Amino acid sequence: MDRDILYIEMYKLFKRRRAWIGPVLVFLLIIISFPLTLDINSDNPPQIYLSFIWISTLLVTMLGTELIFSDDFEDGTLEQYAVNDQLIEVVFYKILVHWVLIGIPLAFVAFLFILSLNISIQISSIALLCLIISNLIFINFFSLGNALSLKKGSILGLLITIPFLIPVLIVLGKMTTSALLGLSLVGHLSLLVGVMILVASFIPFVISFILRTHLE
Amino acid sequence: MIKKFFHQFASPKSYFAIANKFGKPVLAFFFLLYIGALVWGLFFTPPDVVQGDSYRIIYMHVPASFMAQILFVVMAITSAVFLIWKLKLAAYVSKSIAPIGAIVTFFALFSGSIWGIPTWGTWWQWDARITSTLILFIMYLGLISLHASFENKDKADKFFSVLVLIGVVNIPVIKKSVDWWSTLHQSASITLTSKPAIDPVMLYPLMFSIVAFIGLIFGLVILSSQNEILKREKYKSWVKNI
Repeated sequence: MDRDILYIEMYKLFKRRRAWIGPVLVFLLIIISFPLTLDINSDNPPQIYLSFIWISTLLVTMLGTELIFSDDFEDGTLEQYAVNDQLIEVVFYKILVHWVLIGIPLAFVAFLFILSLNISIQISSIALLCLIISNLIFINFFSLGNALSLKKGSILGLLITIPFLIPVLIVLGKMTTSALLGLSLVGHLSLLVGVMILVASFIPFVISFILRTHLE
Repeated sequence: MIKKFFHQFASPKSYFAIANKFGKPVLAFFFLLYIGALVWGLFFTPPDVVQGDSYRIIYMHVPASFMAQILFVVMAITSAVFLIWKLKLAAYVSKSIAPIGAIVTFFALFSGSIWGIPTWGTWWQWDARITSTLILFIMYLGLISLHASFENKDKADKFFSVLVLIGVVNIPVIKKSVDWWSTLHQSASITLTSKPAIDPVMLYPLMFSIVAFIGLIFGLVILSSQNEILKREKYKSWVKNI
């Protein structure tokens, strides 16, 4: 594993401030619009807000990974890596960097919002953990979708990848209900972690296969 | 000898010749068989005690929902064959399955909705089976649009096959996860699984219609794959000589 690639990728994304601050701000705007459209002081169950948060993080991580490969594809950087046989590492590090700079900040913004709803600190921290884990899964799959739909627009990528993410959404929804009922979450959480490990170790290979096919 | 047979059969040219000879008779045979099954089911079986005559749509709904999933699995097998052995024919076949699968899945959803109105009192219920079928339908549409969006069809075949393989892993997962989700939210009164065992008088025409429908759909797949071969290999000399 070449550590330099990680630093380069980190630097490249960090320099493009709009690419990682932008999604977080968009997410903040979406979150601000919840209290405007739903009466936050009424007795709506907290689950409603949590499910809104799952769905909006799904969409915002999609926005955040929209340009994950296209710039490097256009200027030939990916081809260089492919020649050096480092494509898998690049894909892996790109996903990691996007998770650190977009996925985790989104999770913390959502955590602040959940705290503001007077939901107990235990449930909020579990939700934070779930968001951090599930954002990695989302980013992996959306990178796959964006690798497939390079130069074709992101609607195609969304259309293809959201069906794959539905099980994750269902597990998240099930977790929130059990958390609010006070049931144990160890089973769901370990399932989510397992899915994360599987996805994060398997999808980069698929993505590098797809990118190699693009470069042929 | 077997190897030689496979090599011959796997070339689009000889497949086309064989399909040209047998495709249409097979399709016609299963079409008539399916019509026969429908006639048997619609006119020669007694009405259901609870559902009356409305249950008779079972002879269209059950084969369609069955095929909706089988076609995806078949598509995954042909895609795997394409990715592993680089057989172009397999890619053509799996590409031509996708639209048929989408139509069959839509038909399953549609007939289910029609059946739901008299029996459940609603045309849609967010339960496990219906939701997973709807996701399946959207997956078919996504695959079709993915294949259509690439000018370079060889690339499109590869992406399509990779995605089908990820999708087929996902199908049981979706089914299972939707099951968990619905067991929490919904009483079991309206699930199809808890229906009492079906009477032989209705079971035999049902089996008959399922078999006939499988044959009918595979006949259609053969015809549609022939079409795809002609489209993709139109610059080859053997196609020009037809």
